Amino acid sequence: MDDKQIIDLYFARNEQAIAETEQKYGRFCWRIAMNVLDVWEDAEECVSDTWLSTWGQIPPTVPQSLKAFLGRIVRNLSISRFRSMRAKKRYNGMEVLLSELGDCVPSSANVEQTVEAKELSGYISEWLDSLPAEDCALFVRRYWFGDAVQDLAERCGITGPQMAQRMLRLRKSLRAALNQKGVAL
Amino acid sequence: MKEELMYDGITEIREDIIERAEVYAFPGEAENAEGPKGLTKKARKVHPVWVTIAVVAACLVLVVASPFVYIATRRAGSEAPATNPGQSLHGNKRPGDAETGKENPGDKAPETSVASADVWIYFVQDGEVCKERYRMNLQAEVVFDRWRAENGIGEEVQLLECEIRSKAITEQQGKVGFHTSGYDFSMYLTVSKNLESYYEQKDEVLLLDSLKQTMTGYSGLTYQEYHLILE
Repeated sequence: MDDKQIIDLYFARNEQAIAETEQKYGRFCWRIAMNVLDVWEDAEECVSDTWLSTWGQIPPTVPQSLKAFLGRIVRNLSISRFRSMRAKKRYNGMEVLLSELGDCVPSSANVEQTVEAKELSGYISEWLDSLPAEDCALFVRRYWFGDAVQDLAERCGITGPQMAQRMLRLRKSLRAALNQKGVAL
Repeated sequence: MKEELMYDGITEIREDIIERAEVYAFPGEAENAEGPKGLTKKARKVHPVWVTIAVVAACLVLVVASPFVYIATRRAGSEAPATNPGQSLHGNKRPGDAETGKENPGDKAPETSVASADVWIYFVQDGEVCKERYRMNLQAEVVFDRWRAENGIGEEVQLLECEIRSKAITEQQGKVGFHTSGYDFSMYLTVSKNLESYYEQKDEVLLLDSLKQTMTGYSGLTYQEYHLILE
């Protein structure tokens, strides 16, 4: 079933929509949650909550890309879980991702504006557009899909440390781009 | 937290970028792609059978011979005057050894015959791990000293211990020694903790990788495990 038909089922309030979404995108959502949280039970719960949240948001929302829409919900639910449970549990995937993202945070020396996530995403999208296709794909696969550095290294046919170095350069490049815009978080 | 805001910012990036990244075919995938379902599988290099047999035979000889060499060197060490009591087969100092002052690493343990060979020394340069071949004694400390010099690390960083464990068992029954070979080798490398002060200057991951490749590569053994201990 294609995405348009699945979205039509949501609009018709047909519960088959959830089953179809789960069948088509269950593995995709689970992979993101697992990459980010690294705890099986919590990833399962996030994916279940994703179906509920999607049911609540469509309608009225009409997603342009159902896949990206679901991915965002999983990511948001994953970080919510991380925020609420961080005192009790250690989520390795998220800890590593956040520590790496610390390299992208612009310095506060040259501040012109303090931005929110929505505005920040505009700047990040602009920066991603300026990158070569492979660098753009690598950054998104690491920090949006949460793919492991070693997996990406194997996909590119290079070693893990070389990939880690490449990621470091990308993060520094993003920080430089945000600094240039005078953006602060 | 700023990192979390960055995470949220990345979550909201444009959908077309996400879709492009999802379908992007990396060069390694194209080379390694196999099978009708488009599943990617890493191409595996197949060695001829004789190479495998030769490697296993060489390892067996090394394992069987090592206790005899050890006993012989110990005996020679105890008979010869002015020996270096703290030096093991691999030339590493044990904690508590007397300081002998600065000396050329290549001159250590002159009273024992230590094989010398070409050794690959790995080092970090321009953001990547490079390697250079040097002829030197096959002693852990000598190899470590060269690695340290190649990476611009000061002499305050010391190799404290280099222990190779295997499941080999040597038993003495009367005048005869019986040896059961072990195949699973593990290297336990203990280095002084001040190595951490170079993590800023050199990339930590690359630096530790170069150390691992250097120290596990010089002996010709294949290690199942490698443990770095900073003390």
